[in-house]
Amino acid sequence: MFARHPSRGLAHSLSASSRGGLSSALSILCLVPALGAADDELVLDEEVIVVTGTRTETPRQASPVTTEVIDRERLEKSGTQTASEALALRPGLWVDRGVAGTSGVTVQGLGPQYSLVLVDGARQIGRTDGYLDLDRFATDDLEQIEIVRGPASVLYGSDALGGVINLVTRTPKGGIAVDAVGRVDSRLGYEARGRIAVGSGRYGGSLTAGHRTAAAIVDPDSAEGGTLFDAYDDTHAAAKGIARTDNWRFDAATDYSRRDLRGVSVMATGAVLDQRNLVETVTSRLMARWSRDETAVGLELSGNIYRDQYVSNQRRSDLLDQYQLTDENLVESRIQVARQLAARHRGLVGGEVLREALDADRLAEAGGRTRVALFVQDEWRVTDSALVVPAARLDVDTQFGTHVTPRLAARWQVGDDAVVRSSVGTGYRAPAFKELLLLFSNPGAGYEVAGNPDLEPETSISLQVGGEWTPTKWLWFGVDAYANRLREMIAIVTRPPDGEALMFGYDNIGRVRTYGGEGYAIAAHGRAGIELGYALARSRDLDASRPLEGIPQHRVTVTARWRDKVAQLDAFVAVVFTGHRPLYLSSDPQDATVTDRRVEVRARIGRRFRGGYGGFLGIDNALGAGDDERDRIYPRTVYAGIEVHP
Amino acid sequence: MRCAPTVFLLGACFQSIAPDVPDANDVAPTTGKFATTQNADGSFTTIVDSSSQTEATLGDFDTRAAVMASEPWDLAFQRVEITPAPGVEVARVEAAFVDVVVPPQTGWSGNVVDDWYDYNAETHVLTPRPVTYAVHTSTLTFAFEIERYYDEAGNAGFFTLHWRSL
Repeated sequence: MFARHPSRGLAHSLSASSRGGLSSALSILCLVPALGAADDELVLDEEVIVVTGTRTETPRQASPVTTEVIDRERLEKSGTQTASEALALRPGLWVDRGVAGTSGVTVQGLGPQYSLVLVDGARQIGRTDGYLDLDRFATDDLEQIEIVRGPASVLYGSDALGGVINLVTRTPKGGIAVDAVGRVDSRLGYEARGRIAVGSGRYGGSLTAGHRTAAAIVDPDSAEGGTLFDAYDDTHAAAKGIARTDNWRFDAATDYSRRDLRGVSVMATGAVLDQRNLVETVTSRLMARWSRDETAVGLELSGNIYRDQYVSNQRRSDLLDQYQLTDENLVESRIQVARQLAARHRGLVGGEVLREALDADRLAEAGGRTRVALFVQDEWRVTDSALVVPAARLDVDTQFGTHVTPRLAARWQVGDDAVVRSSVGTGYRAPAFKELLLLFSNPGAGYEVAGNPDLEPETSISLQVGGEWTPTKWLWFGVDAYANRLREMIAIVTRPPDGEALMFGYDNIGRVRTYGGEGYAIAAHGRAGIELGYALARSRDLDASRPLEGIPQHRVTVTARWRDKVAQLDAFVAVVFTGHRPLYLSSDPQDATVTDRRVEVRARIGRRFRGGYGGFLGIDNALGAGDDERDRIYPRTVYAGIEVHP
Repeated sequence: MRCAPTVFLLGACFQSIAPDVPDANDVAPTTGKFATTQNADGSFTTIVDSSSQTEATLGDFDTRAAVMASEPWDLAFQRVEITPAPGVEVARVEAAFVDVVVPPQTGWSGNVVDDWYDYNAETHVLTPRPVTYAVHTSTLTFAFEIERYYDEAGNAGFFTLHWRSL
């Protein structure tokens, strides 16, 4: 991806036609306004550059695709440690935990398997039951998180049906920058992290490292010491380097993460399992960009290695002992050319080659496939206020063959203070290796599951409409509505029995419809800023005639920030309301168990001292929301720490 | 520790957590395929290992032992199913075990017994129903109830039968 590097022609042409000044950027969608020119006031005037919606650098407000941004300022002031914590504060993003304890994000009513997670535009791997664990991604090296809701397969290919989460890492700037944070909490957890960055006019580099750990949370009702939440021991390290010339820019980055979870599971049968899950990832990215006049060319190569080891040791027996090893890797290369073709057209053409492989104990054989893609996009400025962006992508995959994904997006500038956006697009999700190749027998329960190598991709068609309005320099409103229809969804089906065992498999038979919307109101004035957000998500399994499991229909967020430049105080409060969620726990498919409503409160206050030192105090889940059985979230946690930003 | 080459000629070393020695705390869940003890009231408690997906445990209640297929047997146990031997009949009695003191008059058949449990779809646990089964062989008539389907370690496929002659 061409993240963080200007294709200046495009950015300038769009900026020129959009409203300048206070209403032109609105990083406020990241809740709390970044500080603008008025140093002791919170204002709405930061020009945020986004890249995810169109694969070219574009001011957020000028983008034809609605892009939500959580910026560095908010990541720091909210006290969030991982990407999952940061995303959970957005009303339209539902973050929950899968069966393996991993956290995933649901976007527009579509579960975690339908969201694509990128780091600097590079696809991430390592899904467990569709969940790509967002707790793997610490926030300390993130510049911002960009969220594009709705299908984006036209630019990113498989998995981008519900939306795209792009984690943009920090880039070294000029001079020497050092920051470090130490934190302890009431869960007997601690975190230590630091970053050093060095930059000159042409070169720069940074090193980031962090470690955090916390003890398991034990179920007080469990005589065997069963845990509600695993103990975790996370380590990550990253290195990044950049070099610039007049026309070229080179980026190289590599990172390693290690997440070690330990817990005790007490099964209803009485079996007690000591469990450990060790996940390690190594990723590397090389990017080269050349730009001159109205042309920008980019080359990217990225590699991603994921290893997941799971050990389950049964007490008093070895019949349920398990060791499962999953090795997955991905190599992705891309070339992309953006060029101003005429006064009102800017073209983008690119190609990708992707090779992914997975080997796991429960697969009939190791899986591997190669995909070649070609994508093309035209940003057509029909009038000074209207932008139309047709785009299409062709994927050719060694497993499922050819797939075409079109999208048409448009943006209208209405007067000086309002923007309307709309898009019609399609998305797809390639069958996972597990769905293709799984061969798993559970003699204890008397069933077998076999993959289906003939699966086709799941497909979706989507309509998105939205707008934003800035009536005054301190007030902003935004609204979005969507409708998605999924077809050929991969569902578990019953196969003819093999002997006496029940046989299950996969087939493209499911259909789902989702629709809903989001609304925001944001105000920033003087030392205070506040954001109100509401999201409605209605999703329905059309074959089972019931709502999708586990997805809340209503979410409301209220977040506020107060900053006193003189006293060097910064305070942040977030209140997140989540409505009922249906769970289907009985053998009757229409018998839904409904979770209780949940209200989470998160607060943090920090103060800076002389010499670049600071201290902070915070609380997560202040009201102790959630319950241990149906709605597990971390209990009330108080934390405190120090930070150094010389 | 296992190392592997990655892209761009970078190496990655991953720690292995695969268990390399058996857990000393693990113990055999039962003392055999058909372990019987006599209770103070003269009844018997038998733990039957039916955990094999491919091979049934054949129980001879006269000798209170598991036997080979070539020998006389009464009931075969495999996973959740209890199959009478040819010529053996079973009758389900809707009564508690202590209340069944004589063989029932009706309901005898040679059908497979697979209706003895309630299934919890949430926990996937099988719970024995409060019923009693009477068994009639050429040499013995007895009644049994199923107390558990899981052994002390929580493994499925280990019937605990409480039975006595009628």
